[in-house]
Amino acid sequence: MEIRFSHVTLTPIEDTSFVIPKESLTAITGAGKEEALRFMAEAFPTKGNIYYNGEKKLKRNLKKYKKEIKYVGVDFEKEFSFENVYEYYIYYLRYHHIKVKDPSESIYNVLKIVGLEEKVLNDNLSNLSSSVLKRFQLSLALLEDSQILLLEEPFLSFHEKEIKEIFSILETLKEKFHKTIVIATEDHNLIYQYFNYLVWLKDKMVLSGSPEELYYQVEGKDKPEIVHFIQMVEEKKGIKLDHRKDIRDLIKDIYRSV
Amino acid sequence: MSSLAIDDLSLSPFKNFAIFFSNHSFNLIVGTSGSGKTRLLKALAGLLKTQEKVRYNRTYIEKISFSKLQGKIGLVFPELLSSLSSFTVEDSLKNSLESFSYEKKEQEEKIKNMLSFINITGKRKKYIKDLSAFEQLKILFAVELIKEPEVLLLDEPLKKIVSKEEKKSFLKLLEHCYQKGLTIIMTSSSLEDTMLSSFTQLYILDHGNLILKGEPLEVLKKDSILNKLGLKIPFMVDLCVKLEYYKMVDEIILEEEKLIDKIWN
Repeated sequence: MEIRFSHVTLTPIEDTSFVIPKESLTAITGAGKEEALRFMAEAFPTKGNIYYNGEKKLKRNLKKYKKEIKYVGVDFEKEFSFENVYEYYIYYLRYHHIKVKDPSESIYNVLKIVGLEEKVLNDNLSNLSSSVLKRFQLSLALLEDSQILLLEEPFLSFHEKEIKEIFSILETLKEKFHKTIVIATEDHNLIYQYFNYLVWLKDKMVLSGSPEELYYQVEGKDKPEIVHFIQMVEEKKGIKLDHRKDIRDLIKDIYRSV
Repeated sequence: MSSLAIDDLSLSPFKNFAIFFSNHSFNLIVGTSGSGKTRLLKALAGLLKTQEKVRYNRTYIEKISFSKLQGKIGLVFPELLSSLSSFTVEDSLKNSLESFSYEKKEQEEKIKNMLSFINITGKRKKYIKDLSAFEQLKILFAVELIKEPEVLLLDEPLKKIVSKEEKKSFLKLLEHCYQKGLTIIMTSSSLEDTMLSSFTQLYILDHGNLILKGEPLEVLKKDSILNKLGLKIPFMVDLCVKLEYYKMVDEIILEEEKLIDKIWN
């Protein structure tokens, strides 16, 4: 589903217009990104409009958006007092009126997608490690077949290996299940490494496009370290190195250039 | 004196585990989720039943009275935030000083100094739940620091802090305390934090095992071990270690300009 912001006020930018392509893995970064996520989810902007596949977001359609758009916050906020993981899933399905043929099957499916083992169903929520809890939080958003997934800084609990796994899950959701995934993050290294589209709320402007193009075009220090290094080599020594993402490729280029 | 040691601890996930933190040191423990970081800090703080395995200044913690131990070892655990969130900044600091018999004037002076130190002077009457994640962390830290402990244990304090500037600013506060004589033991799941301050020791923990320990840059050079554990090595260190392999540099250079000059001169 394509998402379009039209003349929306996003503090500190007064008139923001940009498009998030459908079935993309888009990063949104810079001041105002959290507000943008909220407007894509349930809140409404005070100025301007948001369109989903060309259809204007209206208050009377809120129910529809609740089904189609899922927001995964920075923290897992318990909605119910259930401690057991399985019980929590079941009550979540009931409370949110999610229609499924077989609840257990749906739960097993989402567990599989997020890479959790079935034995986690017997665990206590308060005993889950932060990365398992984050996967569980993501799995709740997948119980309903929503078209848009909005995630706020989802990688704070993960180490490098797990981040790779999570991106592989997100890629599958995008490719196989045709989901549009928008992630708010300030981690430029991650954006450069994994995303194919970037919306950058930068200095009261909105820049959007391929992360590689934007990072090499825009001046400033808030960019991936590898990009900053490659640009500095050109600036200081006049040596043009290829735009690499992998440090091992960069090393080979350096070796050839000396 | 404020050293902490664990000898032969066997308590899940640890098995015959030993570690030592010397007096007046600034320590960072890095490990992935489930490595035992939080449990280790809890053991050090005397929150777990360890039966003569943890020593504070050579004395087993069981032999130290609970209130004395509380005064000596401060805990900055983000999970404690929920217990503070309904308090104002001022009240949380006042509560912290309750067990000390300070005169009202002296108490006020301490609170004022602490708020100025953490740079939250204008938000005294604000509820902690209404503060930003960065401000909440500073309050959590201040609530412990105001009790003047000898050791401060911090469990992943930077986990929810996204801005690099805020991370650096918080670590600057810790560094200041370390320079004043406090022993600091902090955990993190990211090696990037190593580059943001001047830690004296870096420990790498995995599934209850102490894999590496030593001076931070020396530990970070062990790239194959760290990669196996799924830990991302900071860019400049990673670059230098790989360049060293190709004999293009012979040391870790953290400043980009210096490294560029070294390679192409």
